[in-house]
Amino acid sequence: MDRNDILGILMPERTKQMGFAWSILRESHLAEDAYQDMLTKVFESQDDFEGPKHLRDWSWKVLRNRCYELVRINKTRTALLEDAVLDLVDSELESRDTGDQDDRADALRACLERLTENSRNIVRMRFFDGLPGKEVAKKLGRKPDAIYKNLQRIYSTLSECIRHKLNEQGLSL
Amino acid sequence: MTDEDFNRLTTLYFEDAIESGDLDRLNLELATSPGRVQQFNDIRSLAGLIHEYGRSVESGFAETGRKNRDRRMKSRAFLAMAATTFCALLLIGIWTLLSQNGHDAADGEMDESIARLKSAVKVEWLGENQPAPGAALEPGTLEFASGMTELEFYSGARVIVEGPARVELTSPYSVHCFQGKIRARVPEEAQGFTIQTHSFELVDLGTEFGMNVASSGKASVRVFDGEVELNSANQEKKSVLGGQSVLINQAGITSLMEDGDAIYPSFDDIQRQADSDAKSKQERWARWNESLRSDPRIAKRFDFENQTLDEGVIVGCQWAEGRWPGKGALEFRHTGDRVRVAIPGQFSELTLMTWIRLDALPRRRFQALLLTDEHRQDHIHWQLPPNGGLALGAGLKPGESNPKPPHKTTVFDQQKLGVWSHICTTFSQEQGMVRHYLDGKKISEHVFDFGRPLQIGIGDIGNWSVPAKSPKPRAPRNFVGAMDEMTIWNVTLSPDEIHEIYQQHRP
Repeated sequence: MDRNDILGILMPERTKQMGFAWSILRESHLAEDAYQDMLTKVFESQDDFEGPKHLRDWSWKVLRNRCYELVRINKTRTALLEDAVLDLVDSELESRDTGDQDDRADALRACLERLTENSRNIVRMRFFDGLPGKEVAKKLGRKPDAIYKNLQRIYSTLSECIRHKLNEQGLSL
Repeated sequence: MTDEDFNRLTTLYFEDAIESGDLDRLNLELATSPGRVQQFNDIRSLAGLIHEYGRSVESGFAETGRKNRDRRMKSRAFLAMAATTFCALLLIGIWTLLSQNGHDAADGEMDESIARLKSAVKVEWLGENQPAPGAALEPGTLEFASGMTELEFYSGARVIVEGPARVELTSPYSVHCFQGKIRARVPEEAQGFTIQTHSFELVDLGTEFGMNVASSGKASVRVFDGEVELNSANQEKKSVLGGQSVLINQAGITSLMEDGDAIYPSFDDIQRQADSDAKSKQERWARWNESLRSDPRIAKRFDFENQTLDEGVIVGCQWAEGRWPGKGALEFRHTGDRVRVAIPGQFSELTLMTWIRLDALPRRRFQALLLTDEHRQDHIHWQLPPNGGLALGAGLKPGESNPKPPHKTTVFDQQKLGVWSHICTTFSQEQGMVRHYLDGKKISEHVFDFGRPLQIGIGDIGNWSVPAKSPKPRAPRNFVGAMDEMTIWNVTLSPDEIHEIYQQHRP
């Protein structure tokens, strides 16, 4: 399996894997580091894969291990779900269908555009400037709790909006 | 556990802000409910989508159609590039995305506001959130050292807050008061309106009441009419009836007290103070306005006072109230509304300044601030591009290439509709620069190496007169809102001067 084959199989998984890494590491740049480290390891083992499923399973395992390794190295987390619960939620995420990725991307794009400037600003700082919620609050002169509430509302708003748009096309979130 | 609770805990978990008891609850909920696992992963998927979306927008493959995306996904070259350059794309991408979002924010934008700032009298704001009177307020904190504000919640509750105060607006039905004096009038439609403090929660049962919350956590409550309910962790629910006053200590324990009405703000007070504040602002502004009559830096000024114009011709338009009671303004409503003006001269330096109340953000057309007739060489077009940008342009010589237009894409959004805003644009031929300002602060600057002076000549405030012989109809460019002064300076005012003018004469 050459690199192009590998990327062709893994790219549809990328959104889920980035979401997974972010949810463990809570910081965009660290999540990207973890993802790149995973790709590097996969490329190093490119001759060992027996097929797409083997490659996908292996990439998830490597990514998961790398994320928890970074957690330990960076001491970025103080609390994690219990191991058994993590296994439960991770396996559900891993098994999700990626076939409607384009529709989701379109839906997300449209829904982001409908957020207020204030919410977009928070999304930008949280996801793309890599700032934790506390830092976002400091920059905006607000209390962390207020930003957490904003983020909660943004997640709900976007989820609902995406669901609505996918439903219009006969798909689900 | 309600959906709301679950989403709150999930968000706190992702923010590393969850407490151990809540983490236990989250573990239990996820372990026992497949539906919750899906909800949890929906947010994780959403986070991944946001990352991925930023990348795809900026990658130069910013197509939105399925056909193009499919082609992209089939491109091995793209895949290889995407994997290795993601980080840079990610960082750049969101800026493009968000700037486009802002640009498109006018129609269909979700409204997260929960209240309106009806008035702010002599308020000395603290922190970055410093809304103007009339502004729609989203959930967030208002903090000020002194002065009074009146808030109209969308539930119908009206609340006066007197400083020093720090309050967090949390929903149309709730507010958290950390410090401040409050007077609330809650109609039947807003029953259940709640004020949370450090030590207790006040739930209104349809009434008018006052509160005085100290930063220490101590508080007093007086019910003027109706009934409120006080809840705290250390005491059983307590009802307070009209005419009663109670003291509440830091632990939330209440005791009855004798109390007069004087320590709480009143609706009459704020109206009186607002009137007095408007009068002093008008007097200060009138003195300044008079001084500008002999200022050689003024090329032309329209103060829209006394329902007359010294120069120019009003076509359509209605006289209206300006940014405080007693200040005049001109309202532009209809497609043809405009003020015809003649402003001769050549300007190697130019400052355009106005106060506007924007009432609409049309998605697909420009709104004129000051537009020279037609497209004449060197003559300016100062206008709001679709969806609330701010732009200054000028007519080119035949065959001349188009310099990059000095154009700030996002200035106004839905939250600024109906609010008085001070906007200003400066041009300096020597510096080859255009700078845009909003409410006294520079919001953008652009290289505009025009190489010769700008001109205005015959034109319109609030509209555009195209050639009479134009072969086809043009899209309207009429301004929708009110304008309560416009000044054209023949100098490039400095950022400090612009800030000072704004501060001195803000509503």
